[in-house]
Amino acid sequence: MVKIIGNNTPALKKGDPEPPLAPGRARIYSMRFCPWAERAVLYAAAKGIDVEIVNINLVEKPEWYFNKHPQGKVPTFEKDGQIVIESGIIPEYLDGIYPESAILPTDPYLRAKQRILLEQAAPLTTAFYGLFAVYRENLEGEARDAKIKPVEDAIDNIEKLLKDEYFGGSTPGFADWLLFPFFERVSLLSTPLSLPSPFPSSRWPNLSSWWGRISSLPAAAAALQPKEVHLAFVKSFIGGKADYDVGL
Amino acid sequence: MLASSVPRLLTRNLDKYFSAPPIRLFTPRNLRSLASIFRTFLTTTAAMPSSLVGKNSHHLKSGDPEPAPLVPGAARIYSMKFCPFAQRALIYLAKKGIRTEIININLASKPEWYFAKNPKGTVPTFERDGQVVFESLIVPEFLDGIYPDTSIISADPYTRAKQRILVEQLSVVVGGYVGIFLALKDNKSDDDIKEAVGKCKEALDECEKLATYNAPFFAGLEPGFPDYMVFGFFDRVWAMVTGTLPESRPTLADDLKQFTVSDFPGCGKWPRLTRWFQAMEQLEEVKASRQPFEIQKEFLKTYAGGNPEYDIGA
Repeated sequence: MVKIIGNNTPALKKGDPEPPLAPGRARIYSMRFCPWAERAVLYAAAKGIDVEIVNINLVEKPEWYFNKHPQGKVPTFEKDGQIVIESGIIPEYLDGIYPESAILPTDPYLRAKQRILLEQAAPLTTAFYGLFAVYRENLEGEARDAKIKPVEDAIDNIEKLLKDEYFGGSTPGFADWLLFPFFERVSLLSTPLSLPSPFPSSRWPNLSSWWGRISSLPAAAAALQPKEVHLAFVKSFIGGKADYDVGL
Repeated sequence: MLASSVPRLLTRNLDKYFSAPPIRLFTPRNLRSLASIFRTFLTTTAAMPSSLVGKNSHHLKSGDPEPAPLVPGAARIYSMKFCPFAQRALIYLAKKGIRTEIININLASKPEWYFAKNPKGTVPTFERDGQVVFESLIVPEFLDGIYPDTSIISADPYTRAKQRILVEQLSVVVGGYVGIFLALKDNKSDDDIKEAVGKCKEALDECEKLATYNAPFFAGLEPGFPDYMVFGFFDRVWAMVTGTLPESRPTLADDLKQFTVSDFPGCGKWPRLTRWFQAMEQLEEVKASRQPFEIQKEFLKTYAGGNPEYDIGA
């Protein structure tokens, strides 16, 4: 049962007051189209935690937000005065404070293996920005290939790492949820960039069936943005005027 | 037994005997002072034997055979004498007092069998009972998982998260260090190197802000996870800006004279970091992981020159 509320609310900006947070309530500061913030939202959704989302305008950040995160980035998690930042740290913290719905295994070796998988897949989380560059600058020929090849190489490598239904085994785990947002964006950008659809594709059969499975889970559905809305945001973003409230 | 675990054991037992009021001779504060005196005594006298075996062993290279399989229960770490990432695991193992065999790996000519342990061939890699774990921030938490009685990272989810966030924030110093190293390696102009040094100073400024006057260590009154995870990078900056760089580029000696071996990064500009670095240097677990200044300095010269001499000083 997914209990995320406010995922599609307008982004708060400079001048907007800080919304009060009641004791015992959990909140994620997010941005609807940020892959890093999406990690935290997905993880909370997969755990079935009651969480409210407060979206932040990352160009005109509310003044009070810097008290939550010194650099004003998303995601930030807050509950009962405890504030935790960093998309790779929040999920483990959530498992710590909501242990009954822990996603990471408690066995030290299995836990380490999940974290290692994420590290091994990490090249995708930087390479995917290249797709935005291709789109923004209308790159062609070698310049285009130079941006797209690292993405394909990263996915080739991840294809080999997937040995089960999910990276977590027979159920989605830590690495699955933390990688999901990046595959979502690769899939999204394949259309405007006229790339063959990555999922499904014969080049990545394991990942194609993985994507089919995971993207239809309720937790993924709760965090996913409709393709048209997401693309409209990407267009505004690469145009230099990010429209954080697009589609609302 | 490790120096700092002695007083902790003592205090734990004494508290049991002397917990009844009204006489509180052994108050936590008194015990802390006693512990601190005791620790100072231990660390300033003879070096304690470390649980690490083979710290200065020759680096195995392409063609060298794989060391004999581990017997059940035995621990091994694949390392490189000067790698700040591997140093994270070494400090952790020494602090936990786990008897561990160190196998040094020549990172410029890696032994073929090493890729079966770690596909990228990086260090550190930890191995025990057929379980192989790599990545320098993952190995320490794994060690706390399999040796929980000597756990270092906090078990409280919030404190644990804060310790991990601190590591992220302090890691600006990694970029500062790498910038100087690459400028030297690529034989850039003095101006370029000065700029890299300037960026490194800014990184130190950021770290200084993260330190507090209330506690000598990033983890608090005692050193902990964040301290152990970042020390190696400060150790490398130390050798670079006080030794390698001024000697490799005598023309920059004036720009670097604010950095000295015994007052690093420098009380004037970075008082809290300086106190921290000096406190860290005194810890047995840090000593067990570290290479002497002269050797670090000379190694960095060979490394920046493109031909790292991993076995220098051995």
